[in-house]
Amino acid sequence: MKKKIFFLLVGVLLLVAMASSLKYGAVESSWQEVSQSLLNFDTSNQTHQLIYQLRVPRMIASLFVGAAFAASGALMQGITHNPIADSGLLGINAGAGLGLALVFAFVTTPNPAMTILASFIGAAVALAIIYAASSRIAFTRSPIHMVLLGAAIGSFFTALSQSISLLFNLNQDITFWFVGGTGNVTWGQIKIAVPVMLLGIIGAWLISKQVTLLSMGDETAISLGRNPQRIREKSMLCVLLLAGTAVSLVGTISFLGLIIPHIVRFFVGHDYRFVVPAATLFGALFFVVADVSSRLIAPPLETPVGVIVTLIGVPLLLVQIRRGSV
Amino acid sequence: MKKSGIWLLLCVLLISGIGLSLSTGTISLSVEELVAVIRGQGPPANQLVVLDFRLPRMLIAIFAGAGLAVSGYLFQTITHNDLADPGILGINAGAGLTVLFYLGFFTSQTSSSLLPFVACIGSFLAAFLVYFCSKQKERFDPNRLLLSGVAVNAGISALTLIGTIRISQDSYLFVTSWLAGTIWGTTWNHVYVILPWLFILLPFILFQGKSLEVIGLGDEEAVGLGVPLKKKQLFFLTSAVILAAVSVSVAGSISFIGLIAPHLAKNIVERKNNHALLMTGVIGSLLLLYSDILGRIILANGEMAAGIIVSIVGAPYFIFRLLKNNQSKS
Repeated sequence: MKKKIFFLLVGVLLLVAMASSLKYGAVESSWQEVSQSLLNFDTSNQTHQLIYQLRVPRMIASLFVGAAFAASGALMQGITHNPIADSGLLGINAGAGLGLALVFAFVTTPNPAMTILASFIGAAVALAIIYAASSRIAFTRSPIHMVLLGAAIGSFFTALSQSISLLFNLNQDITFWFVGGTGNVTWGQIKIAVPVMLLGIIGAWLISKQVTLLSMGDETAISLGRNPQRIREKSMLCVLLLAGTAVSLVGTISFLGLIIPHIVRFFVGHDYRFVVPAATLFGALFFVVADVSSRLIAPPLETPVGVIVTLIGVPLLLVQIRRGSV
Repeated sequence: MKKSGIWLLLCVLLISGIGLSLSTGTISLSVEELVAVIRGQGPPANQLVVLDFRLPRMLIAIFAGAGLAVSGYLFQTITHNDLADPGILGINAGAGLTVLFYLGFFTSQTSSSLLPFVACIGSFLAAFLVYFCSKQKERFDPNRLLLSGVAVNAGISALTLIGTIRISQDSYLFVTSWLAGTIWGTTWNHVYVILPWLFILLPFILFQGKSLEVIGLGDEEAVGLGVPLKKKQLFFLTSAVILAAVSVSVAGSISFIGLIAPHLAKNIVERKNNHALLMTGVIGSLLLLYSDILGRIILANGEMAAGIIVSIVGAPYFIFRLLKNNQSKS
């Protein structure tokens, strides 16, 4: 019962948030203009153009990116037995960023498919290191070591990206992913990124039942005839699809994958069959709201949305550390 | 014999580093030209470049490298955790934030002599926050300490980013290069800022070296051997924070030196009679000095921050240590 109410409520709020995301911004438009631009698009109308060319892709991007980071966070927390796993904290986002930096260094105007592929490969490298480490027994027992490893991987990749951006004079092109922002998303990117993320989300939902088994310990999974290593590999693939693509769209967003699963566990319990879908929905809601707030905090300047998420995430993590639940 | 050989090697490295640092850059000088400058007989342009720009920069690299390394040594010994480092514990980030606010709202003089004090305040606040979050029931778990360091670091960096949006273009450029770890303190004023702190604190720390050695054995052992643990811990932690803060305030936010230098030193010499501590300082100086030189070789305009190079070298070493550490424990 509690679960149904939660899903229903999040669904309704999500619709409201999506609508507000189209309405508010540096130029505020009326509800009528919003609905008109969607239903009765007029190419000569400037407001219609603004909503269709800028706000709609931006809204879709925040929707899917929020869902992607949250779902990948939930999956990682399940398979690593690590309550503080997050693609940002584990250095995966930084790996994706390095891939992006390399593309910008060697191709003057890369097309969206290329950037997504590059950020993918970068994320895969970081994930491979984490994966190699997580197969060591001591690492699965000590989430803290994993986070330290992630921090080191993250700062290594960030330093490499910084030096590439200095060597090739890319500061303008890649600053956006250092801070994380949805302002530059285009339809071209959406058309490629959304199907990939959708695939990742479906994969995550499908695998969630097995992740629940894994989260109870490898022995439980084995005794039920499942191969823990296979479950991990499949989940890692989903994480890669989700986090890699999300970073290529909006840049490095940390802590979203960390906090969302924790919040939804409070409502839907610890079964990943519910945690993953709930995190997907709630992550989307959270990020759309964060994105709208980023435009409203200090207009006409935009406060980077990644910064907002971090500022909400850090205190929550610190409270957990203080309480000793990590 | 082996020990003195290593000291000799370090000295040679240091001297050649000093020579390289003074001669490389946009105008590169030959050995003869450098010698002429030192004797005061070079052309005025060379005199100016070497004495007013490169010499202070080189001294800053040496002092800040030593400061960060010793700070890391102290943190590692006090917390009994080989992975502690001022950068990871959020101390660099804290200093960065207050420096940003100071430059954004009070002065745009980047050579202000108040800067180290401002940086210290930020570092202390960050250190206190990390300590508060990791402390439980009057004792702290070293691993939890590092974890809250990572979290505080991320939070403060986010605040710093917000701050950079608000400040002027000049300050923005300054802060971003500061955060990347460019040695920006290139005037004699900066040298005077960091020098007294090192000269006051280092002898004190060396003088207390014995109790540091005992604390390194373990807290219970230290109390058993009659060391006033709380008092000494407080002294060493405060010194560590100050050393890191003043170094960061002139040399930019540089991570990993405090982590690598003590490890290397402890692998070379034992932690006895301040040998490891001194060697840590020298290795730290060498690391930062050579990173700065390398940065200037890669990009002649000196924009390739030393901090970036330190991270590129330091992070893989950290990852290697982490994996190795775990293997031996499991």
